[in-house]
This record gives sequence, structure tokens and C-alpha cells, in this order.
Amino acid sequence: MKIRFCYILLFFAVIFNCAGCNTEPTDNETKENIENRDTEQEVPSADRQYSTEFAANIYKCITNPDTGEKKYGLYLGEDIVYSGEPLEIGVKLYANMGTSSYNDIPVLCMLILDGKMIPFSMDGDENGVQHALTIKNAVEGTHSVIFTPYGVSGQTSKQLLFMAIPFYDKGEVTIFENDILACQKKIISEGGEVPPETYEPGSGYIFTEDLYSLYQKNIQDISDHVDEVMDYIVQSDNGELHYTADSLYEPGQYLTILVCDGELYNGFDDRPYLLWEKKEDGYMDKQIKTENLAKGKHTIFAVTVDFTNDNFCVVKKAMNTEVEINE
Amino acid sequence: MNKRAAGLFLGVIILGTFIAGCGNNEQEKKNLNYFGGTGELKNAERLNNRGGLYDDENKYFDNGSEAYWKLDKDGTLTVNCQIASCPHEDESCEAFINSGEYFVFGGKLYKSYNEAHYNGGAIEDKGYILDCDTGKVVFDNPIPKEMDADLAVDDSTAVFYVRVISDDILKVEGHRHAYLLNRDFQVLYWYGDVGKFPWGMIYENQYYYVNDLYKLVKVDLETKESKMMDWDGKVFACDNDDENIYFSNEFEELNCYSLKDGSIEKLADDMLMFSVHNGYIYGGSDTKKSIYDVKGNFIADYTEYQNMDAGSGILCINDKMYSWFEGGIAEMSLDGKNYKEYLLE
Repeated sequence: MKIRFCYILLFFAVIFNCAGCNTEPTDNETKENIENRDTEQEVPSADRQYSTEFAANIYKCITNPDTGEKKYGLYLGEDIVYSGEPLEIGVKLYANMGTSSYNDIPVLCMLILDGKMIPFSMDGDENGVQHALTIKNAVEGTHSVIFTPYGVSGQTSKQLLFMAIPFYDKGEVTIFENDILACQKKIISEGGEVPPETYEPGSGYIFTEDLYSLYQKNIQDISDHVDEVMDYIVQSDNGELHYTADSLYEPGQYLTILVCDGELYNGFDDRPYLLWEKKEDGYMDKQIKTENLAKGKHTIFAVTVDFTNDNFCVVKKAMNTEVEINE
Repeated sequence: MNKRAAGLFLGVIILGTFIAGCGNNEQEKKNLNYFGGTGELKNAERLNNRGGLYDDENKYFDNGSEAYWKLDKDGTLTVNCQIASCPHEDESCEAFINSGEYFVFGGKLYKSYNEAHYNGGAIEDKGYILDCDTGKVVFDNPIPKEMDADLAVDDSTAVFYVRVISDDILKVEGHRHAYLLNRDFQVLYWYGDVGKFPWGMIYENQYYYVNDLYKLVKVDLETKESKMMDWDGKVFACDNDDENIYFSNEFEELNCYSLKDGSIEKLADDMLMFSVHNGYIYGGSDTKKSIYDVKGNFIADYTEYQNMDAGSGILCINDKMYSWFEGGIAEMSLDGKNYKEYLLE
């Protein structure tokens, strides 16, 4: 009996120890498992055709007084300083559309000071509130920007935002071409007070009704890009055009710029921009004037800048909307 | 009886053989280092970005999100975890690391990592350095007691960077402070004007770093006297070899500052980010990547190697340069030749 018991003990000892020694898998087992995991991770997104990268940065411009040669340098831990003359800065723009067919990328550039569009000269062109140029795919370029920073003083800094809207003149825009090249920097003055600029801020339009009560449509019916963008240009059944920003916008101050057929469009009470404030539990709805639009089809979109925070701005573009003017 | 005796004898032999086998296996295991390879683990040379280690057989790369990757001598790149079913998602994975890295200091392997802690209802990261041999925490990166209260409010105990500055000095950097520690993890020096990048070096008992004003600072580790270098312009990124500090300025110019005679020489343009390894300088941007020697002579353009980092995120192990990319590791020789990519299996 004792010997049989020893056999049984031996049998279980061998089984137990072998099992213990086999807890480490073979290389093949390990690799197989890793391959499966990575295959799952590497399944490409069905709707994404290429990767995109957009970048912009503001540089200081130093001119050699002897040669007149300009040199652009990074602002390292310092603000833009205004010292009385029209101010020149450099802006570097970079757009990478990956392996797409885009070689030349049209961009529409604007300069915004504390939430207000201001005129500027770009690459030696005349002053204007918009400048159109073309940048090369995946090639960084430096551009000269000259402007007057209205209202900046030694005591009052302002937030300068440069933005460039790619494919602004393209009727069809996918969600991957919808980014904005934007950069911002604080600007201060070392000189005396600069006379404050007079401007009329746009009115805020706050509604509390839901979109359905206004349009008799759900948001899914109004835009194909629900959850991808937060604001829309919509045309109601009676032909009216509206700019709407949904409840995902946080309470704060916003600037919305309207672009139609590749140009700034004076659709907000004869202005191309609208300053508005989002309050709790509300959303934005503003009718766009159509009197200045010719009969026929037009492509229209809005760009909205959130300048609630003094230290950074967020820029978002609504998807292009094709509208039809019948009268 | 004889059959029984023979059976018992056979059983004992089998068990004995098996136990001996397991004993050898255990012995083999004992000869393996912490990463499962053979030989001493050493730090890969790097300036910024993810780190790496290597031993006699393999190279180990921090891929930033899960277990380290292993590149073996046959050129096979795998996740360095032996458990087939492991998803490498948490600390139960032997090679997983959460927001930190492994490094060798004074011949010992350590792990720096961060853990989320509740502090007055808010969640904040708390950083640690752990001795991998003993499993004990050796440093927990406290906010310096001497730090000004206004600054301390905005500081945290999270570990942002760890850099082995020399054989016996380690730098641990938090949000608003940096410590120089000795091998016993005692504080030798601390400062609060930390700059953008974790670079620092020691030359003749002087510690050099770039502060938050983009100025080079020299600290006498004997007297603890700190002096900002009185240079025109600013210092953006820095790296060094034994006798020189290489730095880029706001105009993206690469310069060399001689620690021996104090002279400054411009070496190249368009080199904002770079790093120095084995007598070569690797730098540029995503659109132009160049290699220079430390005298400023152009060696090679490696822009076409899209997955090789443009400069400061590159790793050097012996005579090869490495760079992590999504799903793989890129490799080239020091002079930019023999480019290869290893894809994760």
C-alpha cells in the first residue's frame, strides 16, 4: 500500500512540476498572441484616406540696420512687443496632406486681435482683412505680416491670433481637410498709450429652444457631421440661412467669421463677423442675410474662434454647406 | 516485489531528473537580467523623447504606451513580455510601465513612474523611483521645502524627466523643480527655474542647464553658487560632448560653446532640435534632417528616412542610431547609411 501511495505521489509530483515548468509559453505562442493583438490594432479606419498635419507659428522679425536683411526668430518666453511703428512679424505655415494628391493648398489668412479682425499687409501686399495665398504641401514657408496692434498699451496686453483656412475656396471639404492653421501670442507695448480702436462688437444671440423647434428637423438631418463639428450653416425649408452652434460649446466669448464662395461674406448684419456670447443651457442661432447673394448655388461655411481664455484661443471650422438662393 | 522496486526506482529517477532540469532552468533564469536578456543592462544614449536600454543580446525600447519592445540580435522586434495572454495594459505585465521609464544608475536598474492620487478631491500624479532589485521606492520627488510658496502651489510631485547626468549624479525633474541626486538618492542640489528640456551636464564639478528664461546657467556644485551666462540671444536646445556644449538659438542656428576656452562658434543653420552622439550632430526638422560632424562639416541628409527622428528624439546604442515610430523601430548607422526599419511582430 505504501509503495502504491508513493507511485501516486510521484505521478502527481511529476504532473504538478511539469505544469509549473510550462507556465512560460514558447516563443511561437507568444508571437502568435502578439500578432493577433497587433492585427486588431492595425485595422485601418475605413473612412480615413490619409493623415494630415497643420502647423503655424509666429516669429519675431529682426532687421539688420546696415544691410536691411530680415531674420526671423522664435519668441522664447517673451511677448510680441509694439514700440510705435507698424509692427512686422513672421508667420510660418505648414500643411501636410500626407500621400494625398494635394500639391498646392490654397489658404485664406486673417489676423484677429482680442477677438476682432484687423487689417494687415501680408508679403508686401496692400492692407486688407483677408489675404489669399497658396502654400506647398509639406513645405514650410515664412510670410511677412505687418499690422497696427490697435489699443495695445504697456498696461494692457492683447491676444493676437493669426489663422489660415485651408481649402477655403473648395466646394467639397471632407472632415480631414477641415483643420485651421492657427497660432497666437500675447502682444504688449513698450511705448505710450495707443488710441483705443473704436469698433462695434456684434450682438450675442442666445436661444434656449432646441433645433427641432426651430427647424422641425433633428440635428442629424441638418448635418452629416454631427459629433465631428459643433456648429453648422443650415438652410431651413423656407430658404432662410442660419448659423447655429450647438450646446457642446462651453459658455464663453466667440467670434464667428463667415466665408461664402471663397470670400468673406457680410452675412451677419452686413458684417462678415459676429461676436457672441454663449451662456449656460443655450445655443447660438443667427440668421444669415441672403440679400447680397445671387440666385443659384453657393458654398458657405463659418469659422469660430473661442477667445474666452486670455492665454489661448481655439479655432473651429463648420463644414461647408451648399445652399441655394431662389430669389 | 522486484517489479515494485523497479517501478519505485524508475519513478525516483524521473523525478530526480525532472527536478534537476528545473534546477538548471532556475539557474538559467538567475543568469538573465531583469529584461530577460543576458549581460549587464545599459542606458541607450538619448537627449529627449523615449529612452531605451540594451544588453549583450537585445535592445529594449520604451514605446510610450505599453511594455517595452525588444529588438533581438536576429532583428526581430517583439513586445518584451513572455506571457502569451498578457494584454500589456497594466502593472500585472512584467514589462509595462505607466508614464515613466527604466534606467540604469550606478550599475543598478531603476524604474521611474507616476501614479494617480486623490488630493482634496482632485486627481494628481505622484512620481516615484523604484529599485528594481528590491522593489522598494527610493525617491518620491517631493516639492522642495525651500521653494517659494507661490511657486510651490503650482508645482507637483509627478516625475517628468529622469536623466543620468554622470556615474554618480542623477537628475529628477518635476513640473517646477529639478533635483540632482547622488547614488543614495540624497539631494545634492535643487533649482526651481527649470527650462523646456531636461538636458543638463557636469564639467569640472560645474553643473550646466538651461533655465526658464532660455539662458544657460552654471552651478558650482561645491559652493552651490549659480550664475547665468551673460550671452546675447537665447538658448533653445542643448546637448554636449566631453568638452563642448552645443546649443541652438531663437534663429535656429546651431552653435558650439567650448567649455575649455569659452569661445562660441556657429556650426549650422536650420538646426533648432538636434542631439550629439559619437562625434556627430543629428538635427533639423521633419522637412529637412541633417547630420554634421562636431566641427560643423556636413555629413549627410537623411530627410528621406521618414521614420527616423529629426534630431533630439533619436537614440544611440553602440554604433547605431535608433528611432521609435508607430509600429516599429528605425535604424541607421552613425553616418546616416544602412537605413532599416524593424516592424513589431
